[in-house]
Amino acid sequence: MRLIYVIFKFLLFPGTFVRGVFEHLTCKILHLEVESEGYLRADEACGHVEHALATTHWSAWLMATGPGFVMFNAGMSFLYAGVFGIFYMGITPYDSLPLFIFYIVSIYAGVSFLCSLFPLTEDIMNYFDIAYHGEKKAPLILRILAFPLAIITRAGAFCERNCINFLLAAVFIALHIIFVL
Amino acid sequence: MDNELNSKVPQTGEETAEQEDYAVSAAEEILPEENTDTAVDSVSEDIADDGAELPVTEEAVPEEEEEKKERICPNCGREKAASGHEYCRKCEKKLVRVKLPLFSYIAGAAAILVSLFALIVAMLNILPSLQVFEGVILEKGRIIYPANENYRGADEVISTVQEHIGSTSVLSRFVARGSGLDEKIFRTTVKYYNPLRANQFVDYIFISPGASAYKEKSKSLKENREIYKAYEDTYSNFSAVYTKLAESEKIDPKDAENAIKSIESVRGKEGVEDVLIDLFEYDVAGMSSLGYEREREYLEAAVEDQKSSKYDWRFLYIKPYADCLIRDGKTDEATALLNDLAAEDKSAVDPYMQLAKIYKSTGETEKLKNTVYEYCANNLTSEGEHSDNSYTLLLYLYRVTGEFEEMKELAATAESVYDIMPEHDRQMALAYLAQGKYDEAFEKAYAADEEAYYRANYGDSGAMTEEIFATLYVSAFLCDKYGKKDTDNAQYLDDILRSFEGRTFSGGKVELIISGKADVKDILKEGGCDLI
Repeated sequence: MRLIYVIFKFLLFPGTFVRGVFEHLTCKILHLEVESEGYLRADEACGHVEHALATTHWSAWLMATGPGFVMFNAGMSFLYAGVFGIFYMGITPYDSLPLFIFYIVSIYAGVSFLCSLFPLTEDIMNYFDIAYHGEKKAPLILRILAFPLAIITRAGAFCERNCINFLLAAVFIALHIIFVL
Repeated sequence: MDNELNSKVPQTGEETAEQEDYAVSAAEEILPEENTDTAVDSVSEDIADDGAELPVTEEAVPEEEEEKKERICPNCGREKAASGHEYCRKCEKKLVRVKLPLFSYIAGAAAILVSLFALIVAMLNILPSLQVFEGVILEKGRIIYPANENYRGADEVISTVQEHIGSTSVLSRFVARGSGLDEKIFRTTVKYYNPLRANQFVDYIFISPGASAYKEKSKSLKENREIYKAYEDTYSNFSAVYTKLAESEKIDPKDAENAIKSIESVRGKEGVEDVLIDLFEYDVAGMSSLGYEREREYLEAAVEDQKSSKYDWRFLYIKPYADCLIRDGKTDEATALLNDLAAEDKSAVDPYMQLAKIYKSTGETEKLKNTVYEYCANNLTSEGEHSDNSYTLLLYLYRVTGEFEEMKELAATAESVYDIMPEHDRQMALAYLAQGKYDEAFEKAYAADEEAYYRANYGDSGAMTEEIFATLYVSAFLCDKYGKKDTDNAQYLDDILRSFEGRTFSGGKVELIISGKADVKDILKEGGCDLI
């Protein structure tokens, strides 16, 4: 599983790298210790940075969801641009090769960003431990409001670790090819 | 990696044991002997005297006690971690200061900027894409004509968006119609009309920048071209004979027989399609009134020859063949055939109309209503309006159920929504005929005829139907006989009646009305006028 994970992470390297950058940036903002500087590595931390765990519920939340928020918005923008262009507007290489390449690259970038959406399981687990079980729990209203996204993030982190998100991306593209074209 | 990260996560008892094993091994490897002893001491309590490992639980290692233990900095592996911290002071300072490489800054900023640009492109394409998406859904649901309309409508939306952003701006290049959309329009045109008619529209459909190159590669276009060529190759063998006959005002049965013989003579020749031979013979039989039996014979031959044909020619004969089955009383066979047709294209009105007529003839009013309502529900426009064909079917339903006032009201609504729809005027004329208002009926039939003529002039070859001629003839005849003849176009009555003199209509209902053997009201309630 680790090998498949690393292979997909390398195949979708733009998202992997940018995810690492934003995770590193978040650590800098939160003054968390970062152990390694490499984002593309051949282990489970591929696309992530090794860092000390956040100690407050707010910083744990930001660490778990902040980079994902940026990746989600950027990824969806890329994906929509590409999918609209290729599948709905029907741009082919015969119409405009540069435009066709732009849309194909957009789809690739979109998929790659969306496949690097979620944090390491440790980060989201840390948030749960601090905000829901720790001594300094988050206020009740925040716990309630954050719960759905926290659960999604936790499930997403599980999917990413087990390569399920790559499978979902492949299914998404295949469905478009079958259904729309 | 797992060990390192797990060391930072609040631990369960089991994980703490693993962590301490790690600490022991790290201490043994790196620290001098005396230090190692200290490190080993901290975990040796977990080991029983006999050497067996005790189960480690949270009770066994209380949290407070754990905190007191001296831990080795996981980064340098030499110094002790600062109290309450993961790393030693030195490493902590160093790690917090780890800088993002310049390249990472550039990559992050570039990702944000390019994604913003992609967002703008996506926003510009969202409206036409939604239109296409709706078309895709309709096409998958086999509602072909509205799907085609949606695809074509996307082109208008693209133009509107381009106008707003300026057709010369760089962004307008990102809002463009591609050959893939052309292909979708063409595909649905083939399904809704037929491959032969779609072939005439190819140059109007493929208008994208890369269309000329794409046309050479398109598989569906290639198939369509083959079908068209097969048709042309067959027709070219007897085009002179057929055209001459089709252009004659009155056809002598002998000439018709001779034409059929010359068409038959090319059967079996290379490149000649047997199905088409049967169908051209059927056409000649129809044009020259050789009789229903002969027409049916040719249609049945076409159905048989289709089995061995390379191409699917069903679109050319399926409607008249279904009519034949209905006329022969084979309603079950006809219903099955028409249901298959209706399932293939839920926007094609003909199968639904024929099904409605079958249900009318068998007295199954509920099924008749359901058929009409099903069609209407499947063919609502994006504004929630009925399609023009839905109005036609609803008008038919009202007529056969004798709801003439509702019928006229609906026809007026249909006319206000759709311009130049001869069928709506014709249905209105039939309602007036059924009510015995012959002058009004004639005016409406005349309007229908004019509209059909107008449409035919603008390329709608199917606009001038036999039904329109029959309605005009019957209306003119009854208006002349029983009407006041004080309407706008009453002056043309004589000319119209003269032009139809001696003409026969399939179904024989018109002749029955003209000869006075049947009452128009009875025939209209039977739905018979549509069988003309």
